[in-house]
Amino acid sequence: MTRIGARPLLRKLAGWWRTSPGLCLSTGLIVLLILLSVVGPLLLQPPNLQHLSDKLQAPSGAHWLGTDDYGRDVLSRVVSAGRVSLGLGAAVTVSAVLLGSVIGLVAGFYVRSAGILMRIVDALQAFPVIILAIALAVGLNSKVPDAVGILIALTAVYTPLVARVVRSRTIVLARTGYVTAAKASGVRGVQILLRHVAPNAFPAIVVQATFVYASALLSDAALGFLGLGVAPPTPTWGNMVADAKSSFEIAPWHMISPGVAIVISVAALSLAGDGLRVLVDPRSRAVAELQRIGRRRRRRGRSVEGVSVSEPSTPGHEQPAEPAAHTEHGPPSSLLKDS
Amino acid sequence: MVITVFIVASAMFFLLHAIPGSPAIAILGTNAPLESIEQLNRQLGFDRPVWDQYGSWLWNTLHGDLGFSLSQSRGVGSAIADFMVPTLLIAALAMVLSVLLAVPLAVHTVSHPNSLLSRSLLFLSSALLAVPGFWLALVLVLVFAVRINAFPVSGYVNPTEDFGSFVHHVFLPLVVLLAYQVPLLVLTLRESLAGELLNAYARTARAKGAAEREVMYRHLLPNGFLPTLTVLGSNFGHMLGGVIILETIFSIPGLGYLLSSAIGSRDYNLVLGVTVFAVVITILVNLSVDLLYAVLDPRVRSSR
Repeated sequence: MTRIGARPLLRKLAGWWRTSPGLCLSTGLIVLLILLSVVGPLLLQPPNLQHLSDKLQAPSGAHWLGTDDYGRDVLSRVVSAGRVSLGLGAAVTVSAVLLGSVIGLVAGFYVRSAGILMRIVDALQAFPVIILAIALAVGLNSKVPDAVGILIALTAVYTPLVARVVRSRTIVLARTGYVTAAKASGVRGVQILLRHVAPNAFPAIVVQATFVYASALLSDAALGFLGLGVAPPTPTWGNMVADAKSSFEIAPWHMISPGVAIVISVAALSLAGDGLRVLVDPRSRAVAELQRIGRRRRRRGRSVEGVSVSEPSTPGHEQPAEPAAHTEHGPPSSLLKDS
Repeated sequence: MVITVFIVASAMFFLLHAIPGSPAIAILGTNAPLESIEQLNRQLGFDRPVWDQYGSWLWNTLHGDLGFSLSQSRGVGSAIADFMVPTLLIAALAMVLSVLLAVPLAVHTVSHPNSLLSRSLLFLSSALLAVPGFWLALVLVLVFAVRINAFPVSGYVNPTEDFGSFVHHVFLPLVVLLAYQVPLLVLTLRESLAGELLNAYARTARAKGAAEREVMYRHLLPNGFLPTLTVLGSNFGHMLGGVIILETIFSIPGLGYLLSSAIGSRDYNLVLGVTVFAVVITILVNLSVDLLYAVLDPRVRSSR
């Protein structure tokens, strides 16, 4: 067993920082946000503590982000809302990824099941996200607790996205030599899926999961804003903006802070997703590589004027871009082809 | 496609009928005597078994009759026809404007990847994609309608009545929609153009001495635009949802307004009608995108 000492670990981190600074930065930010929303509520005053005499105050030493129309501290509400919103988003992501992976693996591997499964996926995906979530949230509202209703609604919305990516990856993987070999030696289908296909589809799933998390946060906020999310007084970023709407002309900070929290977390997640995608997807890796080389060449060209710069070797330069990849529906983020 | 609409519509029907609290209670109030509630339910046909209601609803829908809206006191079809114009108009405007803005920007980021504009554009795009529309709308209203007073806080004017005033009113909602749509298209288009750049034909075009602009617009764009078209189509549903939320903020009398009032008054028929309509529109847009694909891409055309 090799134990990673402090020096190599640092060097590793430094190398990581050099190759994908965006991924480093966003991962750090995500860890910070999670820490803040886990530890924060323990240190700050309770989010629902009211001081009606202090209502709608501007940011000050006592209330760093001011107070809302019930005199509640906005900072402590934003932090507690982070716990609810980030937690709910994580729950949506986990369940959508699990469900979507199963559907995608089965539909990609057992060709005969694809017809029905993908038809259902199509139906869900044809639904405008917010309208589906509204409909489900309204339909489920009084039957189950709000959080569970949101969980079911958003899982239904995001499962198709995962299922599509996993399916197109599975179709590719099912044609590989080792899967054929496993089939030929009589390994059962389920075993092939779990042992040989799923692990290889995993990187693509992780990338898609970060994007799902980011969009789930946005949709959850939109539903909260429409009053269909977790009910007040429990704070969520969405319902805080809705609360602030009535007094936003005189107390804008109350509305600004939860929005900024949403922007930061969603941006960090999509940045992380982009960074991971570059690591996983050969096509975007080739593009990123070319851009980095171009930048380096320009920088060198500027510093060493007139001196011809020898061209660095370009791994992945000749990566053939597959035009066929474009026929699969979905954004290019879902075009995770053969590696 | 027909199957998709059928599944969605049926799922919606059963989901809505699972909501406790009948329309009769919503009409008469919670304090109404039980007999009159039952009587009204019977009158409206809500006492029949769900399967029976479902059958007749499906039958009528197939014949173009979406039922009667209790809260609007008229047919669901005519209510939707009245309210759909602002929604669809704004959505269509946002689609067209976003393509017109995104194409030159994306081409610039690919042809001048190291310029300050490209770099800030890419950063800004990623940042804007993280901004929730409803929040951006409120911030814009705060800055441009409340503080500066450059635009109206809310409201809507028919373009046939007063076009200038229409533009004035839909400007902020459009900015919010474009703030999401343009970055999305720029990023997608940039990625596919950069991918096309790896192909041999781009090198050939450059080698034969074509100007960079010509390489971009004549050679790369026709190929690189196809995935963007798909994104445009599949994102239409998302945008329709965005318009619906924005309508509640800017008080625009569109489908979003209709939907939220229908939800409030438990008007099953109307909620069903609006959602099914939204789904049909979304599917039609996606279908036309697929057909456009065949027109634009000879490879797809020949394979059919």
